[in-house]
Amino acid sequence: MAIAITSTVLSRPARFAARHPSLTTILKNVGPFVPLLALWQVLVWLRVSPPSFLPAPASLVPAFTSLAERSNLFGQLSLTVYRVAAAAAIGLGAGVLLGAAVGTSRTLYTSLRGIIDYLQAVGEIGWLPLFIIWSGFNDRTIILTVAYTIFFPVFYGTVSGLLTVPKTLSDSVLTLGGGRWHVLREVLLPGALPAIITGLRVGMGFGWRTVILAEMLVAQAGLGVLMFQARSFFRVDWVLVGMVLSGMLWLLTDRFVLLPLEAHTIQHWGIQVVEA
Amino acid sequence: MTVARQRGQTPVAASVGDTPSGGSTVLAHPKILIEDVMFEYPDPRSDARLRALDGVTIRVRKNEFFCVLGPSGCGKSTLLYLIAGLQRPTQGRILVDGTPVKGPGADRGLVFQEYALLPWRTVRENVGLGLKIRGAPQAERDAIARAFIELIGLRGFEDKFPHELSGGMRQRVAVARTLANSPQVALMDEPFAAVDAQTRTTLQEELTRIWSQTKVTVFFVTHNVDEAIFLGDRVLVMTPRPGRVQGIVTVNVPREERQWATLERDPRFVGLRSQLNEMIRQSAVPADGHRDH
Repeated sequence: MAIAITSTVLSRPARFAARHPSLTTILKNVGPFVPLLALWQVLVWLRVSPPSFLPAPASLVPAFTSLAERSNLFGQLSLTVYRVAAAAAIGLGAGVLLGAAVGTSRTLYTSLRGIIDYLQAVGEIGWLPLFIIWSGFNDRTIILTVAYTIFFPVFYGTVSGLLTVPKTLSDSVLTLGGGRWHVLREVLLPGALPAIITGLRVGMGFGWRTVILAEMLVAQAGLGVLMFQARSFFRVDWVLVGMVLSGMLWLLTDRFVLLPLEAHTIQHWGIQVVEA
Repeated sequence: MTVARQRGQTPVAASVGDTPSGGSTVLAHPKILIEDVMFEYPDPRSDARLRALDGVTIRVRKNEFFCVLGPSGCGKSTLLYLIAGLQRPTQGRILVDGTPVKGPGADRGLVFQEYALLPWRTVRENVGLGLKIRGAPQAERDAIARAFIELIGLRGFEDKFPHELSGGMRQRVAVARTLANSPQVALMDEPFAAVDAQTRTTLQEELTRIWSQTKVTVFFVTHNVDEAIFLGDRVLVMTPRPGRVQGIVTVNVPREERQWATLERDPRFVGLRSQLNEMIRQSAVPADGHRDH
């Protein structure tokens, strides 16, 4: 009955969306890429630059196969993913720990906020030469650099998340007989969780870009190295394949890992954390 | 259902005076003793200190349902926070069972005006929170939570989250959460102020029923005269800020005759209502003509 009513009221696209929810999601996400590819193709047809500088979109398919044949593409990608994952674990841990300390202590808040803001301004690329001198051209340097990137959004997310948890929630735990630890465990950390996860999403988005750059400068293998070596072979199509893969990998990580995680917490938290 | 109550504190011999407080009752060993309490806090907009409470002395009996009536901003919520131990009096002292209040504790549960349920916990987990904090095993927690959820009539809602409930249901959960922790004293901060009129009368009747089964001492703050008469054994009227005790009235309507269907036409109820309204009117008139605020 209800379905019959909606189907007469809804427009044709809305009906399609109601019938094929997952297909619609894919179309919505992939759709905007079509005009981008079209523009690219038009630029190629207009010959704004020679094909060796700007190959056609379709040529990326053979470029991908040739790259996959010549290099251990899967291995390179896994290495990059591993570096980002390790950095995310470190950045998340450090960001939450320090954020929890700063977000729950007025003294630490006033004394540490300045230096942390300062360190964020210096930036991971500014540290990279020092990391190379201290640690060498290795995984540790790359992971440290990416972790540095991820740390800050997680830290700020944690602090702002903690500061926005309603005080009555902490008070309610205290009047039930809880101590500071219970307030932290039952109220503050779960209350800050949506902001922490949003911080992690933002941080990993930045981190994904940092890892490519750090690999170009430091590593012997990985997606960034692949792209940088392609440049020395003058294979623009391989560089483009690397760019496409990097973007796709990030989108997949975000949409299939981080976004569901965020949606899951927010769903349990209700539309609003603060109850009216 | 009966709720076991085993937390017995030995009352420390306190110097409790036998002077009558507002009303006519002499209480040698009150459950809650509020003695000459003054509370000041810094004004966020200036350097001045604002006085919320002044010279408040109250004695609440064991198992009593004690109502505090007063206009918004008269410091009645502050009084609850002081008893709960979430804030300290600037002057004076507060004793529960003869022991000075030093900080918050499980013996004094507080039901907040805005529910203060944990949004990320289900109804069952919220109700069992106090027991969890005090280290009760899962099975015991769930059993007690189930009994209280039944008591508040929310069976079938155990696995819902607070945002999935109506305001009235959330307040029921908040009351259950406090009582499931078997406190000696249940402090309630206008818990039914945010729900609609029909739900409010239902909640009042439910609260009376639950209170008669648990026999916890209730300190109930409200600005609603009818609510105070319906619920209270005694009703205290506070003056506008700084809050002082204007007077205490004993509700002379027996519990079994307190039903909303008939109560509003009861001459005793009507008399109490006009008496309390008159006290509120008097309290609003400055006694000395130049009271600050």
